[in-house]
Amino acid sequence: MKILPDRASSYAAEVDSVFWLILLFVSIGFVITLAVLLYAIFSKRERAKYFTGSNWREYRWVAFGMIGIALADFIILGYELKVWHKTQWLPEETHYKVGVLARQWNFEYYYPGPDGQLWTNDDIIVRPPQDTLVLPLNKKVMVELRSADVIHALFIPAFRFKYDCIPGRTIQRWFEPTKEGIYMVSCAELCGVLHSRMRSTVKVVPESAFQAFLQQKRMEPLATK
Amino acid sequence: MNKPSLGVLGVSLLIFTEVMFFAGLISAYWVARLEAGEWPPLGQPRLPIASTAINTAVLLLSAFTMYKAQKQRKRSYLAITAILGTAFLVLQGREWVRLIAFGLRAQGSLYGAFFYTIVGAHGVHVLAAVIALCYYLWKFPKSLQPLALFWYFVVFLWPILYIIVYIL
Amino acid sequence: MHKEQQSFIRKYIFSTDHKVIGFQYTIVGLFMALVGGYLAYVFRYNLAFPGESIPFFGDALDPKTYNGFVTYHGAIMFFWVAMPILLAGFGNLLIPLMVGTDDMAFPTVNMLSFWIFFLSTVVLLISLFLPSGPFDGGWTIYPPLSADGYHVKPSFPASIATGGTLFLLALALEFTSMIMGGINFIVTTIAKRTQGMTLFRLPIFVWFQNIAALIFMVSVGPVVAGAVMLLLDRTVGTGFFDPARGGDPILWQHLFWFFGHPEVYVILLPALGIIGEIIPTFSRKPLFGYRMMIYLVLVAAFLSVIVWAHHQFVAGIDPRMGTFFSVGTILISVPFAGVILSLIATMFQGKIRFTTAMCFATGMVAAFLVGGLTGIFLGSDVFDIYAHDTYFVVAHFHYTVFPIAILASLAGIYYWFPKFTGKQLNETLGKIHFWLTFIFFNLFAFPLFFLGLAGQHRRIANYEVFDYLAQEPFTTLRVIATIGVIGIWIAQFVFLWNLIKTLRSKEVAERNPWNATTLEWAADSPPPHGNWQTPPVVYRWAYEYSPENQTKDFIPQYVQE
Ligand SMILES: [Cu+2]
Ligand SMILES: [Cu+2]
Repeated sequence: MKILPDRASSYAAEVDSVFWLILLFVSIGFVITLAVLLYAIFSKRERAKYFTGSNWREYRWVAFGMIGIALADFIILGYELKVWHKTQWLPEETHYKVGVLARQWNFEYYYPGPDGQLWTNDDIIVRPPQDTLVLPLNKKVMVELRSADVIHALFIPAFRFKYDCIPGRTIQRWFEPTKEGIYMVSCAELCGVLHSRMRSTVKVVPESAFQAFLQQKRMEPLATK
Repeated sequence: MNKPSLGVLGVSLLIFTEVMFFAGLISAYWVARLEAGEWPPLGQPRLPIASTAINTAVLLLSAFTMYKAQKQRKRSYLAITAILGTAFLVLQGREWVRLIAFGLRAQGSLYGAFFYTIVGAHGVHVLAAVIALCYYLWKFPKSLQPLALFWYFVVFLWPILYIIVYIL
Repeated sequence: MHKEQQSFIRKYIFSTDHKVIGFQYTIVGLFMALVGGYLAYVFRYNLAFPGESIPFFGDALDPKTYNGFVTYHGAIMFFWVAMPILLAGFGNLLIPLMVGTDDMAFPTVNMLSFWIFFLSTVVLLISLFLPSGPFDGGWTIYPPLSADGYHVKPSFPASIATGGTLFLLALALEFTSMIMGGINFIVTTIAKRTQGMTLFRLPIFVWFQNIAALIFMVSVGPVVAGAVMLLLDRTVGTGFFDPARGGDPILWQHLFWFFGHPEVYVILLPALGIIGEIIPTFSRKPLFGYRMMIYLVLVAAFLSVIVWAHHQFVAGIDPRMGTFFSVGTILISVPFAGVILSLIATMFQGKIRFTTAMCFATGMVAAFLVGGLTGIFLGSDVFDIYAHDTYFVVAHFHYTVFPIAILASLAGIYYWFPKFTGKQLNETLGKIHFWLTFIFFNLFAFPLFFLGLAGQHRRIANYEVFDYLAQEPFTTLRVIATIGVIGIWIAQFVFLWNLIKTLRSKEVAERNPWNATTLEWAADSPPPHGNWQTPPVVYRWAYEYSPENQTKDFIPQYVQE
């Protein structure tokens, strides 16, 4: 059994490495604390030893524990903030843009039309009954998230990607698919009665196939907005 | 033993909680205002700064009479305070009626919604304070301090709200 | 101090006696725990066996009812179980006794606070049975969903009798009641301590209750403001959180979590206070690092009100803010590590006696350790992006809230039961109760970590449409978790049996059956209205266990040597 699902984006491995790093420290902390707890339990005696921990000599062991935790915290933070920077700040250049418009209870996907702009009248739109977000392999994609009604969240576990779609604002984030395949997409924010059934899929294809897909979409009669 | 009076302590804590409540309202107001850009939004009636200044004066005067009531322990000053507090409420109510007539609605824009909510929340506090005052007027207990403390809070909160909502 | 004879109603219903009020809170809280636990059982069963009919309930849950049930389960366990039992219940029962006074500073306000709480409970239960269905917008009440997406124009006053409005109203009433209680706690502690009871002689429980009340009063104002705004949106049709009218749904999240995060500490601190009384008693040792513990908790309390936005990493907040909130959140682990280690150090080289109360206390520390440590995963903004709103979060907060609300409450109940009823709960049944509860809790909560890591998101009635999650081993893990919940239920019947058996027995408990040092043990069991014949005088701090060069292994606070 895999602990974390398949990885299919450029930063998925780094996100996972943050998990494993924290797990390492947390496990050490847990094992040590539990061992100390058990040791304390088995150190019991006929008459308890009187000490209050009100001087440094007695308190230092707890203090060392806190310093240990603080050190672990700083190592974790030092590493994870680097990954944070990489995942959150938009890269200098992105190759493609997609728009995600969530509504109760499905996702609609927008690709810029001939004007190269999102959210304009010539956008290429994928909406139900089609529900697949087609993405090019190994290309940085900027995602713009919006919602038409309540708050939703676009969750693509394989990309380690999850952001809210919030009515009234546009959130810009990015990812780079790195593995061909079809991946599950879910809505991760309670959004009403059929939240339980709000899903979609992502299909990662080579760039040429992606271009062909866009071409074919352009040919289809435009669905009126 | 020189322990602080229970009533004063209790009311201080209550005021502390209330301050956090109004801080929440006001920060929400500022967030909305900064996001909106144009404030007040176009086509919304302006708030009556001048006539509200009179209300403000009435309320501030009531703090003075409350101070007198406390100092001289006179029922009469307490009664005047109650009257001034009620007068403030009536004047505020009259203004609301006029603003509604001018078309300032709570439903239409955030501007109206925040105005009625913040001013209304303060009004409810004044009303509560007036009711407490009437109770004190009836019982006239040994220490007027807890009531006076709450009254000062309600009075001196108002100029702050007045400046934030009406003037700035 | 002698109080006159009172009528039944004045004595047991509209009583101003802190002990009666404490009992009232605890009983309502325990009742609501049954309601919340029942809801948990129903939807857990639904998750394990989707589409099948549910024993003791009926048909499989439709998504709307499912959403309603998870919403109420969360809200009830937080605001109608943990708060009334830990803060209001134990606080009312113990604070006046522990500081050595006859009653709370404002007994009438105290009585009023309970009845407002009772009203809030009634309103909440009514909202659960409305013909239009219960509120189903999640216990965090995020608009626009919680304002029905602003699709419906509210018509006042008909819009009051809707699930969402009544839910908010119930919350507002509950907060009011707890504010009144908190004021009472703090004023009583400041101004009504008995002779000799200096601040640093107060039992740790009293300190933690007061810090909890203080955190509550700092953080609750903004969420009440938000609740008023949301109520107006729902009833008169304002648009505070409606983006179409310039409102901002994220604003609610800030107001809510500014309160929501510290709220965890509001229930955690009374729980730690209970543990902090029990462990010294049954280790026959002074509480380790008493003063440091207070300082550490004050630091944690301060941090707790500035880290709220860690719940909003995925809501598109500025990444730089993410950094700030991540650092703050993760650093909270430091003071709490100090507190937990001090509790363990208290047991070190002690004369430990594993009574049921001590078992629950130790179990609480161990389980809470898992909850606290897994918080570091979620405090890390990078990993939280993945784990947010998955079962990893669910597992994490059940490992914090269950030890707090259930294990610590039960520890306290076993410990103080003889004081407030004059009877002692059966220890054998108590041990069975503890082990069943503890084992089944882990059986329930631990699999959820794996489900969450696999990407299983929350608040889904049925995973059949999510291909990956609908297969093995995830289906089995969900069944195991459900067995855990059923097991926790069975364990509580042991407790119920124990309660009935004990209350019906004629055996009378000693005044101080655990040989504890704090003041409440000096009073009669149960203490009469007014608590003392003559108010006790305090001569020392609260933890003089096994002093050197003494034959006795404890010297109570009220004994002059
Ligand atoms: Cu959704
Ligand atoms: Cu939090």
